[in-house]
Amino acid sequence: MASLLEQAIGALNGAVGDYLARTGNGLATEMCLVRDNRPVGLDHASLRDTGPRVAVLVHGLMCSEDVWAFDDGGDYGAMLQRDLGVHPLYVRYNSGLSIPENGALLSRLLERTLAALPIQQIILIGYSMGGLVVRSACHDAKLGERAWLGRVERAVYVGTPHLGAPLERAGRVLSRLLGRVDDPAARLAATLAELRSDGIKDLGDADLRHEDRARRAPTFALRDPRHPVPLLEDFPHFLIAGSRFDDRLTRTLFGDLVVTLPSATDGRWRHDAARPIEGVAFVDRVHHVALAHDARVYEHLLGFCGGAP
Amino acid sequence: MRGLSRVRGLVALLGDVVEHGSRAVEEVHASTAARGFAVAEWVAPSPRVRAVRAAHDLGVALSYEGVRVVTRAARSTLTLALDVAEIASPPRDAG
Repeated sequence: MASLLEQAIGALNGAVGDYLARTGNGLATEMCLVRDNRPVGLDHASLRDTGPRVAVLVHGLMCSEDVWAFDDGGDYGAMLQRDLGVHPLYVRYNSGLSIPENGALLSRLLERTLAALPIQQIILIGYSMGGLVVRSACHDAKLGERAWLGRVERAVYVGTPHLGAPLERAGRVLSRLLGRVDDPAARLAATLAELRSDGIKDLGDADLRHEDRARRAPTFALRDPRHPVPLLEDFPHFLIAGSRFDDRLTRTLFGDLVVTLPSATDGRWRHDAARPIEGVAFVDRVHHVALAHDARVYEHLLGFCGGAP
Repeated sequence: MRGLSRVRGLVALLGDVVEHGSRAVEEVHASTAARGFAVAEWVAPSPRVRAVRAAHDLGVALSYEGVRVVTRAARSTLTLALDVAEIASPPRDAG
């Protein structure tokens, strides 16, 4: 899929993409649909055969659509097309922008897409930060009464930190502490840490709205354990969480090494749960990045997308 | 033209990194040196120590500013070259 150059630019955008966009830098990625490693307009020939049911795939922080690619070149989108006849639409975006900004951009992109293509049903698939962007877009569409929201039949979140990422919250506290140390090197380190993008900072509390971002505070604990923007009730939501470990306690604490299980399951995970949780799937012995291209994850994804909405 | 736009972006980003990075490092350098000179002036207050400090501070400031001036000149030259390349190349479809 994407070239090494696009992957590098995706990583750069994730790290400092807000700065790139603010300064009008040509390296800033604009949100677009991608086909064969190239951004395509909605009038592009490759989109003319788009069917009535599409899957919109939104990648995560510091990556591009390449994150979906298996070693053999396949990806969830192509596999869903093969197995369910769902037409994949890959989104590329600047993951360094704030999640609310990207949510609004995605909402507008989907509105334009709906106007240009004969789409009846939309499956939203978000990986990691992409899941939060999907949620933010739905929130934006709900407020703006956008037509595309009515076509969404379901959303699947893969390794999405619905309740925030402890790593970012720890980084926030560390950065604040460093800034208070009366030492020029420590202050420099704090300044460098603060250069991380708005997108990264939003991951700490899974901020989906601008007003949530404004309330941010440097603390390890979640600002709001019950997320201020609940999952919309307009369509079903499915969650896929990964864990690097088998042991119950360790996997609860560390999850896939980036997102904890309680966060990936939007608080539904209980380490002593005996029965499966409805709408939630777990995959063991997988790290965060591999969740985007794992055969076991795809089996769950297929099950979630194949059932009656 | 997307390729040229990205090259421009890379040039601008590298310029920004040197500009802001050199200022940050200069600040650390000056703060660290100031502590050493403060101790020296406390132990042996003399015009000679103060002169050495003044010479050091001037040298540091000139060195870092020199780096920034050269970077700005290189950035301007590259931007000009990209402008010429853009004018010289035939227009193509976006992408």
